[in-house]
Amino acid sequence: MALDFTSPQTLDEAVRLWHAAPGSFWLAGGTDLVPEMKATLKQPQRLVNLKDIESLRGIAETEAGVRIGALATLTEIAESDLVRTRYHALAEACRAAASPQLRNVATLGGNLNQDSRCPYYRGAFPCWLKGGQVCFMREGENREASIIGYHECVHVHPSDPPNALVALDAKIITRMNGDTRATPAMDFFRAPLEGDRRMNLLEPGEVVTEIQLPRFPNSQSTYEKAMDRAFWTFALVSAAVRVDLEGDRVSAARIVLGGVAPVPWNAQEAEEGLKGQILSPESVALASATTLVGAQPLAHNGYKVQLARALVKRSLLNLAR
Amino acid sequence: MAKLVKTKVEVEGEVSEEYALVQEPLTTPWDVEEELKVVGKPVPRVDGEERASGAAHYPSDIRLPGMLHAKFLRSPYPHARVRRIDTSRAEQLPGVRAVMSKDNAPATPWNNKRPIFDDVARFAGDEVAAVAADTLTIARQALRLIQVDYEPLPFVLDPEAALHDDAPKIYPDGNLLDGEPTKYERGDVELALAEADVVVEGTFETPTQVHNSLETHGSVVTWEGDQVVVYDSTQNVFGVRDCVARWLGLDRNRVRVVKQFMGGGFGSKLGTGKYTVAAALLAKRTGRPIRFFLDRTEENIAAGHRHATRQYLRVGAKRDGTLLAIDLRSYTALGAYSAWGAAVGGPARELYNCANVRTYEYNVFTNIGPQSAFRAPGYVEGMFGLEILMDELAGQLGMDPLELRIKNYAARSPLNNLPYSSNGLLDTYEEGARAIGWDKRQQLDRTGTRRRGIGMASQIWGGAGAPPSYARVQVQSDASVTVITGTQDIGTGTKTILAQITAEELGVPLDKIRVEIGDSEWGLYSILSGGSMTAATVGPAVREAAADAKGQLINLAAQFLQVRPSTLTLNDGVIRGVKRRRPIEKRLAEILGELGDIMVIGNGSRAPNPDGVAIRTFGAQFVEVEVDIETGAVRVIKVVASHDCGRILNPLTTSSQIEGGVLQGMGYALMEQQIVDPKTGVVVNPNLENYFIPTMLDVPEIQVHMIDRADPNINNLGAKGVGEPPIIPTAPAIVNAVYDAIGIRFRSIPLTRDRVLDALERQQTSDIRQQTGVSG
Repeated sequence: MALDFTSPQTLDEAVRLWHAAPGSFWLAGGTDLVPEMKATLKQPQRLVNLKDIESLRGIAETEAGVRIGALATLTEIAESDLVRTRYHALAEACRAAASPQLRNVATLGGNLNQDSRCPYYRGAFPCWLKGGQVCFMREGENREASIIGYHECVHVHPSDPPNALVALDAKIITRMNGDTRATPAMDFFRAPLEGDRRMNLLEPGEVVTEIQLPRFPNSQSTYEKAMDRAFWTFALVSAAVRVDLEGDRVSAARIVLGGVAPVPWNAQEAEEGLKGQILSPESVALASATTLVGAQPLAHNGYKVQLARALVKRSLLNLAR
Repeated sequence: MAKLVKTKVEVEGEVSEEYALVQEPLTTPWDVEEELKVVGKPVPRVDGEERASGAAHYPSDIRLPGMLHAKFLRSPYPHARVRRIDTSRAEQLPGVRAVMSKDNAPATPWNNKRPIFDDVARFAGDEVAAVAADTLTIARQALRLIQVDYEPLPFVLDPEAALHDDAPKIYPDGNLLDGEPTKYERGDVELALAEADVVVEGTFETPTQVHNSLETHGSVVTWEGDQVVVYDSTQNVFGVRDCVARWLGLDRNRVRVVKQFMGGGFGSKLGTGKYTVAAALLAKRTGRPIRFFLDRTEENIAAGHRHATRQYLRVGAKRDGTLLAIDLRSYTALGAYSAWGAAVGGPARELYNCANVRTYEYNVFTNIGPQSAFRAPGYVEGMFGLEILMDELAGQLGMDPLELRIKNYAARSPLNNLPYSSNGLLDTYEEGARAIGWDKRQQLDRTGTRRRGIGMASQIWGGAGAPPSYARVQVQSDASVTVITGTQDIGTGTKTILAQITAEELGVPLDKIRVEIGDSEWGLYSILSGGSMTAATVGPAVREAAADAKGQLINLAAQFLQVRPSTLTLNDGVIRGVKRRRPIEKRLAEILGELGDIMVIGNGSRAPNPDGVAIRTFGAQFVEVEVDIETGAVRVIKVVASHDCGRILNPLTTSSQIEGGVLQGMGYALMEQQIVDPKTGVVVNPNLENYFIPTMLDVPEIQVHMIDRADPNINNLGAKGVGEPPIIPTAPAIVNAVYDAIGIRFRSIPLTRDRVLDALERQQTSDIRQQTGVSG
């Protein structure tokens, strides 16, 4: 089957090209899509390459905060002074992802559209997420599966940066035909459901153009990631934690867990207990202990509850320093 | 005059007696104390630049004019009858040149006497058909056009379950290899256990470990006139030659196998691949060169692995620590084809001085890909159980684990009561304990959430090398030297040490020597490169050939200079001597240059090993770990690897071997495992994304301690092999260190977060129960 490759210079042209042919796919870093094409998991007829579109690049300060173009690479974000000082969790999450070579190529926009890394989905199994009848992971090798917020499919959202974006109340700006919409990161991701098995809200032909981060007066954030080896693998569990302080008391907290659910998981119960508190060993212990109280682990992934609690504790104690 | 001898050969823990044709030796071992000029020095790899620059051609780099690409069609089912196969649509696809299946392949038996494409598929990934096409893409498309009518059959993955009466039968006469376990017994184990003061027991489980050779398995095969040429990523050039000759009905001198470089094998490339034979058959059918290399998934599921084991182990001792009995029953998951099981009972049989030992090894066919040799096969698995249980015994006896091992040190081989040719085990204990700070391990921090611990384990293995192997040293008329032997460098530095040995013996500079290996065309047979055999097998043969050449050179120079040969020496390429009481000194190149196009050819062969001694390698590793009791992370901080393998030929290549072994052992202990989906029998992680191997950031500090003492009783080098020993003790040493850190004895690996956190939770629960007096 022939593959048509186009490289538009403007977003308008890109949107037009996408709709002009059936089977169009957006291409940015390609670190996820190209391997999927090789594995015939995705079979585009047209690739609309976004990398020549200048307006999708850059990391810059705005009145409201900071704007990150969808084509910004994970390396650029991890190394940006602006991001490192104000949105530490995002810089750390980008730095914790993949390998240096991949981070040099992978873009934030692409990362938001990261496909499932469930080995059953990626492998030779006719699994539910790719249109089959059964979630093989649920009764099979489920050490890496979700422990909360899952439905038919027990995969986890694999990426690191989305957890930080949710913790940082980011907005995701997308373009659909002629329209632009802004979606809070917290609402952008979704657990695949019968009838609609998408992992996020993007409609066919919709494309991420930028990410907006709000200004926080007195806020700190951090990212912790537990892996099966020192680096270059997806998280078993990760935690993006942000606390806003008024004086030495917590005015707001955001705790978002990766590797536990089909979406970046907002641990609201843990957040609640922190409000108005000083970050002390006691308040941290309470927040940690209330993390994921409603978890429903499968046969081999109960350890994730404890691991998540340990990461939450560690993150909060780091922020207390 | 060549002599026919019978000699013991040990390959991967299996001993057999074979004939070898050898010459009367010219050399004697170098003096143990003698400081050599080139051998033993840290000579950088002679082919390092070639490899690092990309100039080196690996078998997978070979591209030939008109070459076709071949692929296998593999069974999606772990066990299925292939009722009918229709290849007609694939054959009609433009660009497809040949399709081979059970309907048109030769009936020559392959593994376990089954045809190369059988009418039963026995693992998910089993070869069902092969296609050769103009491009790889067309070959892949063709595979999708082959229609196979499968009848799925029940399958079995667990080796013990596979022995039940109602288990699916993978072969008509059952799933147990040879119909019975491999039995060994000395003394009376039951009696000794009954009389023991202390008996410890445990069930140990080790995972399926995949070699993950960076260069996947594969061959390029082409016909040149009436000869077939095979470029193969192999550890066994002559084995491939003989197998291809048999399949094609050719004389062995009409098959040439070439392997100049290879990207890893670790034992998995000792046999001849089905891809090689299929490529040869397809080349014959199409009249075109065939490139047949596996992809990464195939490499994972069908190119061999270290078999998973379950080991039931009991050890009994007297109060003072004297071992009375070792009793092992092991089950190995062979996979669907491999007709041998590795010696899991080896360590139990020979590491310690113990009068009563029983090992029953059940080697069981299961519906996964075939196992193959993997760096110290059997001993890695067996040492895991034994050395962890030894630590537990020490704990029960209130003894220092190292002291317990020293107490049970075997001064003679427990297998045959022969003395060892040399044995540095106690030295490796002492050296390793000193380097890690064994005596100070009580002072490690075990109070916070990150707890340190130190553990150790022992190593025993072969590595003697064996005949037959032959070598030739040619001296050209410009005094340049070509060393020719049929061995292969599997990445260990063989070329480099053979150049060093030649330089040392012949007395010519290293840079005048070129080593030609990895090509059966030279005709100089060498054994396969496995079992840590290459250095101690081929090295002595090369030294013999160099000595032969040197003798001829001295003789020739003596005639030319008109002096007695005994007055002459050859060093650094210079002939020195005395003539009429006056010193003479003449460069060898000068003498030869005046003689026209003469050529000196020295021949050598590997002499047999001595009778009456046991030849083993020994070692111990000491490991410091840090366990994070909140996150379950186990980090290896430091590994002291202390090994005795006789004379060190080159400390650089030896260190590389030891470091590589430690890392592979560490991966085995902490993260590596092939996972098969229990419901479908399909491998879940057949890739490098979900099968984890250590990255650079996982690498701990590795301190290599080489005892470096020549063994005068084995061969003319005093050297033994070192390829496999360093992977043997790493995993149990890590597990013992983890116990030292957190007080939990793991009996299964890898120590992933789930396993560690679950165990920590159980430990906490039982602590609370003990504190509150609740039982159960």
